[in-house]
Amino acid sequence: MVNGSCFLFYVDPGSGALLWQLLIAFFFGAAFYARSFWSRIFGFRSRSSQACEQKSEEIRHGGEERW
Amino acid sequence: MKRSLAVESGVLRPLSFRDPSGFVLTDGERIWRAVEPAAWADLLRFLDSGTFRTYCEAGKLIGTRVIGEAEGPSLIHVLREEELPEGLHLVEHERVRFPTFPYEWPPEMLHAAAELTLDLAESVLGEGMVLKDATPYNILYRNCQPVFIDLLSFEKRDPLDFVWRAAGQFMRTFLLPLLLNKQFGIRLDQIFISRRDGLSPEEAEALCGRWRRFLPPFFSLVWLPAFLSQRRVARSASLYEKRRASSPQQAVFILSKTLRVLRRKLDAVRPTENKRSTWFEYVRYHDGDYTADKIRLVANFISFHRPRDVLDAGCNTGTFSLLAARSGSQVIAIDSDPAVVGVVWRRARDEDRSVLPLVIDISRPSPAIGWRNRECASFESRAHGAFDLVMMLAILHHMLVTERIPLNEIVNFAAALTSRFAVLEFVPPEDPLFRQMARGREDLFVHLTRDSFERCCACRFELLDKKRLGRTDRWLYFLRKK
Repeated sequence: MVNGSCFLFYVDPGSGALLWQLLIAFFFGAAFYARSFWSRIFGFRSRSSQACEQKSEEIRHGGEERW
Repeated sequence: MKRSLAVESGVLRPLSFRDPSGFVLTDGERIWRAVEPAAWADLLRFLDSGTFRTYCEAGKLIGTRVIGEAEGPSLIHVLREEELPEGLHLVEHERVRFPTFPYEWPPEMLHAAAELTLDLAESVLGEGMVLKDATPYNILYRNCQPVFIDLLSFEKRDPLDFVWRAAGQFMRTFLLPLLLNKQFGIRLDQIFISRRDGLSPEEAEALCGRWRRFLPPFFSLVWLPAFLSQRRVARSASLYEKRRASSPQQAVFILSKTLRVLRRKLDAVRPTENKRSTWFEYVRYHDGDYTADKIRLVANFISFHRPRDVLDAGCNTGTFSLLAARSGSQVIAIDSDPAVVGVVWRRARDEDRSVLPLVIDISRPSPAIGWRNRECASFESRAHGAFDLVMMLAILHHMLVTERIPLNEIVNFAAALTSRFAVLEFVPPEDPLFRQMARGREDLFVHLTRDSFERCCACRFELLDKKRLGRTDRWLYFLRKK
């Protein structure tokens, strides 16, 4: 819960669909670490990963003052 | 629920009640959204976002303005009298001319609505927000373009949360109905009229047969979620506890990849173009003079009277709807066949015309459904007197013969829908297609002649003109409502 706002989330997430999403999240969560590991070793980042990290940075900077 | 029932007794009518963040109200003319204090900050944040500006300018988000203190009190006073809680905030939404529901859309329109939902979910991800529900009821159509209307669907996101909780609803209400429509021809009205929240994977799996469930895209969209929902872990309350990524970057990475997976699934269930249908090229059964005469006569009538709102009942592939739209009319084109309505949608979208195509059988128009039959209004209540011109071209014989609707009922219905004009095509019982439909029951229609038709129309309409179409015995009647 973030500042009490997430209680307004009212949609049935579904059990099978939620597990399905957790499977995907597990896969991509691992891929995220593998990518970080890869880029640390080779100092190489693909364009898509740069874009994704840039987006994360924007969120972090834009969000910090609000969160 | 208590709140919405209280409002119902007064001047204002509630249109929604499920979302605890707020609810929509109307006085029949204007649309407001009352917002709970807990959700107000989220709404202001969204209204201030780049996503709102971009999509609003593109016409894909509903126009919205915050009701200021200066104009608020009178409206808030009305709400207070209705015993609504203190502290509600208000915004006013732009009104969409003709609200429609997913069971009235061809699959192409549901697919476009799903694309818009994913576009918005992706866009707000970069602004620290999340789309908290993903249902086609969040979307209305302004002509051919989907418009997202539920601005309370955007909520501040926990930066470490990597689960898009609306994914299950997106699958139930978009992906699975589109999949079953594409693969088995199950109509969207068959799904959405009886189910508010779409299809569960378990329901879809029952239709797949023994082996098909293991083939893509059934495997990942149907079998896997249905299989997982049967596991013991699916019954555990801990499944629904909030999970956190190790960093905001990882959470965004996972969420954006999840949305990308869903977009790939959506591409896999894109409706097939040029689907075959009995009603395609139906007009070509007739001779060339017939079609040319009909187009010329209708075009002349429309260009002379310039109707603003037109209903084309039995629109087929949209020849006359587009003809009216090109003359500046706003057209609602209805037909019972989703395949031809899909064609009208694509044609109108490609030409950027003011046509709203809907899958509605004029003989069995959409009922009022939802809680106490008040959530989604019936077609007739939305369409009553809403048009300057109602066209019923080559459809009367279908209503008379196949649906067995009496002629005076049809004429009365046309008079209820139009405020000014009607154009009706009379098809005599001797017409080859009429006889083909009657299948030996011609005796039932011996009384149906041009004279009896004109007498029936004269009860509600004044005859402006009548013209024979080509060398056929069909006649076009141009009528003005009395």
